Amino acid sequence: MEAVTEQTERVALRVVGLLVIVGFASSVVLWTIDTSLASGESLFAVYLSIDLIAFAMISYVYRVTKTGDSIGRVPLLAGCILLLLLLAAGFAV
Amino acid sequence: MSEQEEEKAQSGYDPSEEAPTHERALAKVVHWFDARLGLSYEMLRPAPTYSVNPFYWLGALAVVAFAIQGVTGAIMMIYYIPTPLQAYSSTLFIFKNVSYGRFLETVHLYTAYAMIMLAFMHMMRNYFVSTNKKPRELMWITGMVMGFVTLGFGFTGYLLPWTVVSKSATDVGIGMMAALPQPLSGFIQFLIVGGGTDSGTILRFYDLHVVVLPGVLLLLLVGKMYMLEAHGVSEPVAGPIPLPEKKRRLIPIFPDLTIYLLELAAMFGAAMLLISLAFPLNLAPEYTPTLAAQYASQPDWYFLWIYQILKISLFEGPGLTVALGLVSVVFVALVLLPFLDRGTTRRIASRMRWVTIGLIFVGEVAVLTVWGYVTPGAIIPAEQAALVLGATAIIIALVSAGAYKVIFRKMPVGTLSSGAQSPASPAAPYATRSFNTASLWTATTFVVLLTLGTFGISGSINGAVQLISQGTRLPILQSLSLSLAEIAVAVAGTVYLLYRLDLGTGSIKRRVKAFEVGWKQ
Repeated sequence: MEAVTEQTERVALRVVGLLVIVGFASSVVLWTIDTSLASGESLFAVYLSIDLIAFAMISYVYRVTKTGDSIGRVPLLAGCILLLLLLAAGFAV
Repeated sequence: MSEQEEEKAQSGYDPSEEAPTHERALAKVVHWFDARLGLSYEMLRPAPTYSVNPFYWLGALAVVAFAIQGVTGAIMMIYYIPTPLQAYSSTLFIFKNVSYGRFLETVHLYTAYAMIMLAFMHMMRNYFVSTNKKPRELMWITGMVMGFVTLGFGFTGYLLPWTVVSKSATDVGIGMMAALPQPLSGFIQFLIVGGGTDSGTILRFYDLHVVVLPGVLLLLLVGKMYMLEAHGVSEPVAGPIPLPEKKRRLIPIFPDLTIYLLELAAMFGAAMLLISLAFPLNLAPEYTPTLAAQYASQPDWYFLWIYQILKISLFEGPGLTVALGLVSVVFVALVLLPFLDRGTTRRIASRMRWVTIGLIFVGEVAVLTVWGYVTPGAIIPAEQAALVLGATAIIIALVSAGAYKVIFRKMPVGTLSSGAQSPASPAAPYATRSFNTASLWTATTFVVLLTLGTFGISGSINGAVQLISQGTRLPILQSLSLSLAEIAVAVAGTVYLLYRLDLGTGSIKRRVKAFEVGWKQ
């Protein structure tokens, strides 16, 4: 059990690195959106959501690690899947 | 340390000290308010780990929704013109010409809906876990007033686009207010309608929506936050087993709890953005009296349950005042809940009566809302209403009784004043005996009495309305007397049964020998 928790923590810390990149990239996309285009509205909503979810996940890992609790695999996995879906939607829009 | 000693240590007030009578009376009043408002308490104390739970922060999420509305509303204010001639065209301009205008309006609307829903969930959660008990009575009342202000936001904001749907619905609301008794009716009419012209009404609604109500809400919010700081979050009421030490550990407000709240806010914001993207708002046609005649007036979903009550045939004409009186009684009872539910325990297992009443309230509101949505503009026959609402109450009461029988039968009961923090007394009687005594026949009799009461209430209302509209006539008086007798029998029987039930659970405080005929320990 201990080994699983440690493994989750190691994975979580790597995921945080990726999330920081995702958050930064989505912020860049938000600055480059052409507001005069109709599709800009959808891009804005999708990438702002990505930014917010990435922020929430980074905060979650930071908070849980700081308080010494174990990181939940389910919220982490669910968040990653949601982000992937939104990124795919962002490309599709 | 006893409760009194604890309060004394916090406030420095000792009622036993020698002092003149008037000073002691004043000190008592100051102490009562200090114990509830926390004027002398230490601020920004660490919070327990068990408060890292979304159910503890439903109110905070409603505040986040309010903040989003503030930002989106401020942007819309740049373009919006509050006159009957330009309200719709300026809204349409935001929709079509302003970048992300439609999205902005959609987010504004959905966060308003979320705010109302979160406020309702926050209220009901606090009702079920009974956080309104001492010393949080004023927090509950402040929260209730904030809830009314939130509904006020919905009511005033709905008119502003000046669509045929919003104007017709608001006219219905204003018409309902005219049926209220004087001087309340006159005051509300003056406050929101003014001279009665369309331009006066929309300007007042706009003023209330963007200046008065946000100001009032912010003031109340500051007060409520202050009281929350003073009393801390309420302890959980999960059961008789004390919480593990890990859950009771204190964490600092900053950064730990702040980060958690930011997580919640970020997820809520993302959800609102995605919902707004998936279901964009469509603007209804502009209001014209001709077009309004073709639409069935219907308020927005959060007022539908009240509107559905007013649509019951019983309340047509002079009965409208009776219906509004009934709705007002519900609201007043909710505000005064801390003074009605005087029991010392917060545990759900020991509060079957209040939990069942709460469940019936939620059930009736849900049924009336859905029913109102599917029957726009239709008058509901009184018998049908009595059947649907009575059946809802009966079914929920049955389910609740059954759930209590199954879930809490092995749990120790007693009067724990502070939820799970206090370990159960080893001498506490076990609920198994109580639910053996208050077995199926008790639940069945209770249901019969509830049915009798429902018919009695609807019959009494019918009789009262007929008395008002047709004058004093013998058949009406006979029918009214019969209905009142039904209510009396139902109330007396219910009190008796509840007493026997409390006798079974061992939570009875004042024994009445006459009620205990045939009772065996």
